Amino acid sequence: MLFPTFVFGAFFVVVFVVNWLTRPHPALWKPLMLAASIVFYGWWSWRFVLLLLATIVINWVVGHYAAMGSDQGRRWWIRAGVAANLGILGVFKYWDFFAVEMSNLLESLGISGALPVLEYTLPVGISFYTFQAMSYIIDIGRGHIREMAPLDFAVYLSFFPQLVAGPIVRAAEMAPQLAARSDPRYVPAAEAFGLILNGLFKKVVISSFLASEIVDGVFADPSAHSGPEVALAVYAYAVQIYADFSGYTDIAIGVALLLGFRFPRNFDNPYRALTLQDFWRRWHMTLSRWLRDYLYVPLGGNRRGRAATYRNLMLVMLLGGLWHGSTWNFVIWGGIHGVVLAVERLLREHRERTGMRPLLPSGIGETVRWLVTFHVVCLAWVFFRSESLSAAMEMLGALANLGNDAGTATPLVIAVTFGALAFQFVPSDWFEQLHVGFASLGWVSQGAVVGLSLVAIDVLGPTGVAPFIYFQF
Amino acid sequence: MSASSAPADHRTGPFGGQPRLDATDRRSGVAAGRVLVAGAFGLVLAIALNAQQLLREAQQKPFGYGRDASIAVWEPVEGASSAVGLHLPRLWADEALGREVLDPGEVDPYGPAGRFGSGIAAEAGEPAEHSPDAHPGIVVAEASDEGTAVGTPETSPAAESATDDIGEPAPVVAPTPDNPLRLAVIGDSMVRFFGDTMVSLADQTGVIDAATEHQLSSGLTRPDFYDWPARIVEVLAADDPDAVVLMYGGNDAQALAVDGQIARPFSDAWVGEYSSRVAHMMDLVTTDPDRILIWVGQPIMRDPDFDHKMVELNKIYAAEAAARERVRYVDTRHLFRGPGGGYSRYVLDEAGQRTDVRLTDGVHLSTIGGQWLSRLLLDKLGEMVDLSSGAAP
Repeated sequence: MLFPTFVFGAFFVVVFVVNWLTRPHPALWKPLMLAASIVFYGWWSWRFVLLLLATIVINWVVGHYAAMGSDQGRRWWIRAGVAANLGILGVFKYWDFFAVEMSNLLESLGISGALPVLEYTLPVGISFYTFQAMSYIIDIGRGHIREMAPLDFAVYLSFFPQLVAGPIVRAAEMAPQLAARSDPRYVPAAEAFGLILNGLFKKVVISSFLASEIVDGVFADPSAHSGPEVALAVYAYAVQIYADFSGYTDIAIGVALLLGFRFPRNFDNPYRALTLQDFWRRWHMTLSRWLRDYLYVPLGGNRRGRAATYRNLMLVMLLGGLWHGSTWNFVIWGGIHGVVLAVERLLREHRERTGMRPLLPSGIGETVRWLVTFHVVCLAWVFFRSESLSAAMEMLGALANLGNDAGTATPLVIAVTFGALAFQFVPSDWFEQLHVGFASLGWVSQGAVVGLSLVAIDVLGPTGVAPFIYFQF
Repeated sequence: MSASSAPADHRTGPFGGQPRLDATDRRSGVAAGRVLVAGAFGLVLAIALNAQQLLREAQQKPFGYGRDASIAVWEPVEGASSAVGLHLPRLWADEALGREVLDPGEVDPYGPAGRFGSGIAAEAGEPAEHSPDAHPGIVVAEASDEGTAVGTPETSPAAESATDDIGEPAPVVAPTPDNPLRLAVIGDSMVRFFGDTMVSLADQTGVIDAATEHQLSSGLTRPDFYDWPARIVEVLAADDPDAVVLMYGGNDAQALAVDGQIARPFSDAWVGEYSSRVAHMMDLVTTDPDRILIWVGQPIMRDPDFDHKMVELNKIYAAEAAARERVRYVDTRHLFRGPGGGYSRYVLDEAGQRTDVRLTDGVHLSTIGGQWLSRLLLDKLGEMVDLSSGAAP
């Protein structure tokens, strides 16, 4: 079930009513909420539901025995649980990539014997809920959280607003909210409606417009376009993927708020970042902190010397790239981020060690740092978006095209791309003022704002709804 | 221990000082009942203002109970909305954006069979009516009985390749860099994934001036969703291409309307009507005796049921092409067979390397798959037209 559809709207009205009517009765509310999430997920395929239920059972059992066991037993259960989750991800997401690459390597060495490929359909959202499940059992192992009741855990892992594309919500954030029962007298409607409408606008209007008007065409055949058009397509893709992914999470957070749950933020104007480290504190924040807490820190973080720190940084970013998909392009995407993060760290350490002053005045310096950071991110996006390494290289090569102006860089495309980038610099309290203004309206006016906004989004958007980009991860 | 009996530190977040997440907003939060009333009012308002569009979308759904139910819901809503003029703001907005505005009453998929392209047939100089009788060779069973080389793609690769050679083209003047061959690559979403690549490869020959266009979710069964005959006539009039590549079918295995009745997919009535539509498209393109048409067959698909339907459609395309001398049907199934002979996303290339030729949906082509198909089609074009004065793509 896709958020920007009438079917979801009707589904959510029913869930909203049932949620608030049954919330005072957890024994009724929990199975109903689990059922709602299963309907939402099963809309894609009932087979996906079976895998989700299996993941719930496996991880709850692991968490249960890990919570009860001795230190040694606990470690064993956690390792087994992590292995099981990685195994599920491996089978559905990574095996074919490995089998094809190995088979081709053996073939090139003159060794016959191809490994079989499974060609399973990738279940929607598997990377998100598997990571949530791992955070649950690891946090139990660390003693950060207590075991959840089976039904609580099932509701948490399957909770439909964040099920298919995040944000990656941890059990420690969800369990207290499940136990606390939100007060139905204080639903943050202004904030929730604002997030939902903003998310719909970003997805249905901005992302779809840029994809169809420039990004898809130029990435499909960069040689048919001029260098400036190719550059504009790369900038437009940076905007498209932000609008698409942050649009989804805005809707998810808004929907959860209407049900009485608050999810952590996932984006904070990432294209404002002046360094790549800053970018990763603003982009897909729940994945960044997952990688930090469950990979970077356990690897030793920055506590085991400089060489180990740089190794850990690279490893985390390479695996972060691989999390998105099983292609070399995602690995290269992670590698670019890893290398530049390492260079940033090296320069920072050098500056701190030598007491070196900035070479440029702060205003110019910040502008240069912003330009460099943004273009590094865009360079990495080329690999992220391209279907193959050769396609990415062709795209980069086409930046030097002098002729071939195909007319895709229309004034509207330019205005939308750079307007959306400029919007990143709008102070966040402007939006808060909008929320306050909306909250002060009567229910008729609030309804009118919601209704007119929905129609405006539908008018401005294209026919049909493309799936969200991050569903494939 | 259940979460409800967890200790206090469990509720303060995993890393000590991290603030607890709380959805309650005591400053500006409102009661859930009021949220429901405001939200429901907003949805009702949006529906009322958008009722015509909702009804149009319902009408464009595949024939069946779901479509009937949707129309039953939206028709009275649209009637009420239009009666009080609530549909006008949306209408004005669409007109301001330069979009085609169709009244739901104009969308009539139940219309007579001749409706498919009937509005443009006279313009193209073709008869409006196309029936199996008008094209005796197009009835698949008859053609097979008579021994016509109709493709039977699921039987054997050899049988498939026989379909490649259907149709003897009339000679087309050899293009030169100064007088290039104008090529149009047109179709549904499949074209989205190889059209641009084919244009690029065609341009590299130096003797082909190519263009492409596609329409997602379109086909020949539902002209009420997208009227391809009308669009083809516009393209032919505007660009006058020397050669056309058409690919349809992925969205066509659904019911269609024949003389006001719904024909089940692949029933006799359906096959007759669909065949006449394919024939109509082929005739529209080849009205000009100097123009040739390549009709691209559907590749092997991951889902066995869907694949079987595509095999049946390929038979129709092959049979219709066989009845016309300037139309060539190109089989694509053999190109995308996996090492085991069936569907595979990974197909061996000439160097024996497994290559990712399909997208994860099991239907569309990857960039590399699109390159393979484009090269095949340009090879076939080269068999029909002397491209020797150009460079190899």
